[in-house]
Amino acid sequence: LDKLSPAPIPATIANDEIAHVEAAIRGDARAFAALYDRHAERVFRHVFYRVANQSDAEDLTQQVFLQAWRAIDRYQRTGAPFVAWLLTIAYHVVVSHSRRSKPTATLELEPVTNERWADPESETMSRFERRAVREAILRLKPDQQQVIIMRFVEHFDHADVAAALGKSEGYVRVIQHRALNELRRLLVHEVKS
Amino acid sequence: VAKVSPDILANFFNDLENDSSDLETYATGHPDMADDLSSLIEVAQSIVPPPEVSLELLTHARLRAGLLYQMAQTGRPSAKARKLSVREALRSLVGIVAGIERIPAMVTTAVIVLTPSFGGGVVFAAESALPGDTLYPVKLSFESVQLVLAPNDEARAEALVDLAYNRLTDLEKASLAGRAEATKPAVDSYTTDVSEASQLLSEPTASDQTVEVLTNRLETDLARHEGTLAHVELQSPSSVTSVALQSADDIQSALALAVARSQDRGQLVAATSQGSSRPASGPRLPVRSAASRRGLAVTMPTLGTAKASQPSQPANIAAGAPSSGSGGSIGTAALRPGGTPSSSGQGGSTGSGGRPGPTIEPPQSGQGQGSRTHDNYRHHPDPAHRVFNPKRAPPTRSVRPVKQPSSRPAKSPVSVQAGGTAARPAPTN
Repeated sequence: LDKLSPAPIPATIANDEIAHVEAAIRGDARAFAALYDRHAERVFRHVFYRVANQSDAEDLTQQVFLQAWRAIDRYQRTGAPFVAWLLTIAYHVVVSHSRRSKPTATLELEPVTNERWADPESETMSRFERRAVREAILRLKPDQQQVIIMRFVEHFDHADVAAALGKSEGYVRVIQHRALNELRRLLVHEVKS
Repeated sequence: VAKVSPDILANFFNDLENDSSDLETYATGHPDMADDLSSLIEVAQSIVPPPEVSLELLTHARLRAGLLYQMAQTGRPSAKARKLSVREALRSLVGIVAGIERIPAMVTTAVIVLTPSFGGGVVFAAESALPGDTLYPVKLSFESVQLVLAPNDEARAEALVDLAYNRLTDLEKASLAGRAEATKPAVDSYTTDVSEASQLLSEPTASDQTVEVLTNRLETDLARHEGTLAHVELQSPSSVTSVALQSADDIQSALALAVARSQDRGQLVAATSQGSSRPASGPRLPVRSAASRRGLAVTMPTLGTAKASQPSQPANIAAGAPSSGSGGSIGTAALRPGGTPSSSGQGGSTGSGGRPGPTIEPPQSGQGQGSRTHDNYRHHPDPAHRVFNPKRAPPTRSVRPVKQPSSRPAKSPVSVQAGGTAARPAPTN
C-alpha cells in the first residue's frame, strides 16, 4: 500500500513550475517547453499504459502538449496540479484516438510485449496477472477508468482528481467505489474463465 | 455481507495514505464490512503503475522540436500566432538530430537509463553539460530551438545574444573546471552567434533601440568574461586566439552600420525631444576602440558624450555621482539614455516571467538616468549577472577616439574611474 501515497513535490520545483505556467499562459513558448521537459516522461508513461504502443504513445504525447498549449488559459481555473491537468487532457486524447483507430488496434487486443514493460519491482506479479488487471481497467467505463488510473496509477488524491476532472470530490469517491467493484467483478470473472 | 460505502472506502484510503490507520483498525471498527473492504483493497493493490518506461533521447528531442514547431505555427486562440518559416524549422530540427547523432550509442543508452532515476528528462541531463562533455552538443542543439520561436529578426538577434552569453558562461565554467583545452565547440558557437546577431542588427529594419540594447549586452558580456577568455587562450591558444578579436569586430561592425544608418536617416531619437540626454545626432552607441580590442576591456560612448554633461540632465559620469542601488554604473551603462520605472536599480525581471534576455522598451521620458543600474545586468538571464558589481570592472577605463563611420569629429579621450567619478574635458558643442 505504499504506492498509494504520492511522492511529494519539492517546494522549489513547485514554485518554479508555477512561474513557468504563468509565463506560458502569457504566451511564453520557452516556458511551456520547460514544462514539456519536466512532464513529457510522465505523460508518455500514462499514454503508453493505455495504448501499449510505442509509436502511438509518442504521437499522442505530442498531441497532449499541443492541446495543453492551446488551452492553457483555462488551466488556472481548475486548481489541479499541472501534471494532473495534463493527464486529463491525455485521457481525452487517448479516447479520441481509440475511436479513430481500426478495430485491429483496439487496446484489448494489443499485447504488452515491450521488454521495458517488465521491471524488477513488478516481477512479483506474474506477467499474466498484470496484463489481466490492466486489460480489466481498460474495460471499465471511461469515467471509472479515468478515476482509477489517476488514483492508483498516478497516485493523485481525491481532491486533485476532482479538480482535474472538474467534478466534486464526492463524485470521485462514488466513481472510485463503483470502479473498484467493477474491477473486482471483471477479475473474478477472468479467473473463473 | 455488508457493502462498504463510497465514503468509508475513500476515508480508508485517505487514512492509509496519511498513515493514520490500517486495515486491521478499520476492520475492527466495521466488522460487518471487513470482508468487502479487504477485497476491494486487494483489488486496488493489484493495480501496479507502469514501469519506468521512458522516452528515448532522440524521441524526446524529436517530439519537442515537433511540438515547438506546431506551437509556432498554430499559436493559441488567445495568443498571437507566431509564424515560422519552414526553412528555420527544418534548420532547427536538423540541428537537433545532427547534434544527437554525434553521441555514441552507449552513452545515449546510459542517459536514457539514468536520467529517470534522477527525476528529470534528458534535457535536464544535458542542461548542465560543459564543453568537453558528451552531451554538450545536445545542449547546444536544444538551446538553438529558441531561435525557431523568434517571430522576427530583432527577436532572433535577442535570442542569439542570449545564446552568446550562455556560451561565455560555459567557457567560464569549463575554464574553472580545468577544461580550457576542450572549449572549441563553445568558442565556435559563440563566434557564430555573435556574428549572426551583429549581422541582424546591421539590417536596416533593426530599430535603434534594439541595436543599442543588444550591442551593449554583447559588449558587456564580452568584457565581463575577458579574464576567462584570456585564461582559455593561454590554455588553448589554437581555439581561442581570434575569438575575441573576431567578436569585437563583428560587434563594432554592427554598431558602425547602425550609426551610419541612423545618421543617413537623420533620425532623431525620441528621448532627445523629451529632454533626455540622448544626442540629437543619433543613438549613442558603445564602440570598442580598435586599439583596445585586444584587451577586451574598453567600451566607450562615442557619440553625444558632450550631452551627458549638461547640467539639466547630468549623467553619472559627468556629475561624478555614483548611482544608487547596487553599484555605480560605469562607462556606457551610465551614459545610456532611457530608463525604467525602477529607480532602486536592483535586479529583477519585469513582466517577462523569467524569460531571459532584455525587455526592449521605449525610452521613458522624465526619468533620470543617474539612479539606475545597467539594463543589461538587470534583465540578464543569469541572476548573478543582473546586479552590476563595480569591483569586477577594471578600476580605470581609458576611452580613446574611434574612427567614426561618418564625418563626425572624433571625441576627446575620456577617462572614467570606477565608482562613478570621471575626468573629462569640457564639451565642445
